[in-house]
Amino acid sequence: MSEVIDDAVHFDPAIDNTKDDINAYLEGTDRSLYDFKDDETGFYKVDEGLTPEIVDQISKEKNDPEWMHEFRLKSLELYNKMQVPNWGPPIDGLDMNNIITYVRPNTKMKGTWDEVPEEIKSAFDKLGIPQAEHKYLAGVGAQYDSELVYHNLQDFVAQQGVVYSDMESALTGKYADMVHEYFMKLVPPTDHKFAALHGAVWSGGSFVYVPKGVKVDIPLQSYFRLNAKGAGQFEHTLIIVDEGADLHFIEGCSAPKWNVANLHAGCVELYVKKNARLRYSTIENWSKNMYNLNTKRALVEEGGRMEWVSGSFGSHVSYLYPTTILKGKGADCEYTGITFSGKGQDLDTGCRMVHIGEDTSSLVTTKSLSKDGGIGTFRSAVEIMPTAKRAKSSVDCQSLMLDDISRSDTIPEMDVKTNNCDVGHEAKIGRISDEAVFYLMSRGIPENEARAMIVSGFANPISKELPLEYAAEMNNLIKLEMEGSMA
Amino acid sequence: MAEQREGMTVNRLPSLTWNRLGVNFAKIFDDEIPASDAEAAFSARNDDQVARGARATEEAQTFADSMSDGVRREAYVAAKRSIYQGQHFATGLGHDFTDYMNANVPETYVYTVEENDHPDKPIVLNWDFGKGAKALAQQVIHVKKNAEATFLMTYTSEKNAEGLGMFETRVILEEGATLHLMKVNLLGEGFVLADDSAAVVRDGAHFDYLSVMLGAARTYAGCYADQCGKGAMFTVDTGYMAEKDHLVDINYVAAQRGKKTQSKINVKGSLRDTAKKVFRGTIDFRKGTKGSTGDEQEDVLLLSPRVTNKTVPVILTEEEDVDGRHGATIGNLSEDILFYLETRGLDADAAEMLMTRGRLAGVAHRIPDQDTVDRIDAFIEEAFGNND
Amino acid sequence: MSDTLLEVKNLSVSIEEGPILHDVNLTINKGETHVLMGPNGAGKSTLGNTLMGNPVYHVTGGQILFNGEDITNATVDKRARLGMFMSFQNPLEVPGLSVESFIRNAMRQRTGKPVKIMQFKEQLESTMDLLQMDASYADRDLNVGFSGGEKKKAEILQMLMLNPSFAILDETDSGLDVDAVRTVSQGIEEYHKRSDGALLIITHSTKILESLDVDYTHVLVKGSLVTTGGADLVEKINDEGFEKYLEEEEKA
Repeated sequence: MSEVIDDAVHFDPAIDNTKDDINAYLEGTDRSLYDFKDDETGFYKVDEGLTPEIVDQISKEKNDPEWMHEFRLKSLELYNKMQVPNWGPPIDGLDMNNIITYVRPNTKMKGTWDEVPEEIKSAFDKLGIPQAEHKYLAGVGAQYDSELVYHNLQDFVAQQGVVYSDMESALTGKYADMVHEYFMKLVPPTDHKFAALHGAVWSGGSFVYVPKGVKVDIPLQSYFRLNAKGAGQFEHTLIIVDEGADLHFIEGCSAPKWNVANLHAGCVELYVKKNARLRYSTIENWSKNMYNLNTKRALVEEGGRMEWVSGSFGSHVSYLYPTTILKGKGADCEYTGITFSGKGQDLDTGCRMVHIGEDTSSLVTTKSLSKDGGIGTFRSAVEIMPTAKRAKSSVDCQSLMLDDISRSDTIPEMDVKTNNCDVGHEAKIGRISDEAVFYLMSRGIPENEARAMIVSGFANPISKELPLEYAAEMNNLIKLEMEGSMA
Repeated sequence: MAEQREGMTVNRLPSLTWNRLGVNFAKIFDDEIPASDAEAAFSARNDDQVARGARATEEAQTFADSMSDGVRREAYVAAKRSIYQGQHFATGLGHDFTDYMNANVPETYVYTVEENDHPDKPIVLNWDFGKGAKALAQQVIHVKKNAEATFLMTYTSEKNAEGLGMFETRVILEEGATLHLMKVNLLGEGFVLADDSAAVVRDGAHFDYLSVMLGAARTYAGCYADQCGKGAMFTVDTGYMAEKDHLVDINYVAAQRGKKTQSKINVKGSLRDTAKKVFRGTIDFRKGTKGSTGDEQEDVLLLSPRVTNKTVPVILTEEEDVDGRHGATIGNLSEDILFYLETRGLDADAAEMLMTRGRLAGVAHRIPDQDTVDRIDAFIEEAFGNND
Repeated sequence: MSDTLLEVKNLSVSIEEGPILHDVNLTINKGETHVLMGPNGAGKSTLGNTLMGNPVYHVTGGQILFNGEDITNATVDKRARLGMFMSFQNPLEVPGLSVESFIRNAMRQRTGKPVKIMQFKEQLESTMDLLQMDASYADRDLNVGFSGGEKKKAEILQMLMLNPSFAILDETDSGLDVDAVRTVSQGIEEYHKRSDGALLIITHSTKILESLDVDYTHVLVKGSLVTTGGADLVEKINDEGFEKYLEEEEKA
């Protein structure tokens, strides 16, 4: 083994520094990587605001089956009747009349990167998507504004019968009936106003089906890029992991910063069948003018296991609470999340666990950091239904305040409706201890690095849950946030 | 639909969460309030140790407001985030309740503990509801500099009686003052009890709140401490037991504003049959409360498969130099403990009573009045005895 | 070239609650071993922490010179990079930061050069071996869940890896069993031998000193250095205690 000298990585407790490709990966990573904007000439857009005519137009443009067309119009009706939440961060800055719901890039979906128009391909190149696909992914979907521009699944995975396609193809293809059966059943449009909005104007996203017993060893990834100014992204992700199957799905998001509000109201529906396992990892780095009102939900059958790994760094306002319904006996869920709220950000994140089946268990570990006037809220609910005999749930949330102009709130709820269960909860809010900083400095480490090391260590339980490359990206985002205020 | 019924909104959670969880507030519905014309019998012991007198409620409210720090408290946060409800002298049950009491209680009792005074016996105020009655009462307890006193308020009735109790106690603690405010609910099964407490805690003062809730069909208890002074302390010890289809609905708020304040909230209890309990506990570290600590612990013993337990332990922080934590343990009697007790010859019922009593004993035994402690013990024993 | 390493001149130190050290003078030459003794609350740890630059302690008068450079107001990390080290009485736990990555980082800061990985690993392993530390500790979070003895060993490990020219050992032997004290003092001996590093040992007992040649012993009482002697003073204090000095301080 050759000697490797590390200079690019100042510290990285999560990562074995001897892996030189990570260093190379990190060297090219800085904020400008997410902030570039592309020209939108020649793209198809619908008008701003939301009317039945616009919904008709989107439906027609997308060649929806008739049931979907009706579904959209019903959802729109609901959307117009429903109220915005009376809790959580203010969303006054979001005026739906000014959000463009549909932007189709000037291309059809391609199966190779060479066919993707140069300006769009270069956006994904900068984000490292084709390189990542080449190195460690089983399949990649890339969405640009409202539509997927690229989709590919490696042959050996496809041969196992795994389906990974864009939602539009899935609606009319071989799995059309399955999509019809599952689409917005877990997150019905009646759930909340933005679920209704999603039902009306959704576009893009991925459909994944992993057949019984198939274990996909390497992850699939979808990357969502919202480029258009003042636009909304409403992608729909539907994943069905059939009995005994196993999948790791990674979702990445970014957008350049515009001076008007953008909206992301995606929807993720995950079905984990008997004895199946699904890991769903997200690194969200939307730009800081984004309203991220995303809904994610998983239904876990008997013996199934759902794992969420979630890193929230971007957006101006977030409402994000992946929900897991532990329906089958022995179903199990682990949620691991980190949220970093910096300047101008109000990030309300957390999760919900609904225990229905006997012997179900949930484990929640979250970390949140607030800095430079950022507001971070951890919000959770653990519901133990009367049927969930011997359910177990444990929630641990820790928050770190990095200065005295920020805000950090912890609002958990536990709703227990049976006695035969074990529910525990622990939370801590504090700051970096001066003594710990002194201790590290006494070994020659400058103050800002000492603080960054402590913060990175705090985040370590989360980053170690991510694949190496994503852990590196996450640590880099933390480092950028930490440096942000020192400049 | 519930919305159609007239009711009073109480125990609002300072920071709202999902409405569907049903914890953002509680409602006391008019149609649930038992009608009763008889007035509960009020008696006091040792109250000659402090100055006391009835004042017009409006006058008492004005006095309490003048001693509070309400305007400054809300100004900063309200501008930044709309999660607080405006109430000048903030209380646990909240403004609807205060307005109702002010409108329906003509006179408020004002107790004054003079500077440096340390009355050695607890001032015991008892409302006996007998075979059924109602009582609406407000108190202002003003503890002057470096004084210390214990007020014990007990609500008693016959076991099967029904009625209504509404109480609101506002406490003003001057610099270095300490008040042990103890409230004990030993009411019969047909009661609605709304018991509100609030304190303004100045420099070095300590508001020590103790609550034992055993009876009544529906109990709404709130307590709010405005820890505006440097080193202000707020401690809570609560023990409850709910059975049948009874409800216990709690809302505690520690608003920590001064430097080096401390709050410690301990809530323990047990639920049986189809009883329901909601506990909201908020530690609210406001800007400038440097060097403060807050700790909130809840321990719930669930004894029947059809109980409902809702817990919302909130920590709000807008200050860096703080240490806040909360923990909750919710579950049934562990098999290990049960087995251990069985090897000592106890059956499941006896074990459950023992564990319930254990949770309450630590709280009850702090009450410096043997008669009340004995009555608490007897109440628990009877509750479990009757279940056989 | 002078042999003077550390010079403390008329040092007075306060904390928020009031003054602690009064007019302390102390000179330590390269390679010397000094012992600092004194009753509880005399200010021994305060002196160690002030030399290292702990911001809790405020220098209200006097100067600290290190290799002739005035470091009275230098930042903590700068002092460390200049070659100072302190073994903490209560080492802090830092979750998520591994022992190995921490030491490697600190070494890079100390030397200003990248640290070669293989060489580093070998050195870390052999040093841990010397201190009878299990190799698995390298991957563990810094001090998290370590026993008292393991924490102290981890401090000595850092000292040996960072190779300072001056080390303050603050009660490094307290709370350790006999075997652990022996291991720790072997580590100190190794440090002393390897780099001729100077030491300021704050201690209550003599066990840790058995294998070391003590050059000077200082007695600190109520924030003042009341006497300085040779190695024999340690024995004397062990026999007689601090009463004599306390009484003198009372009279003064």
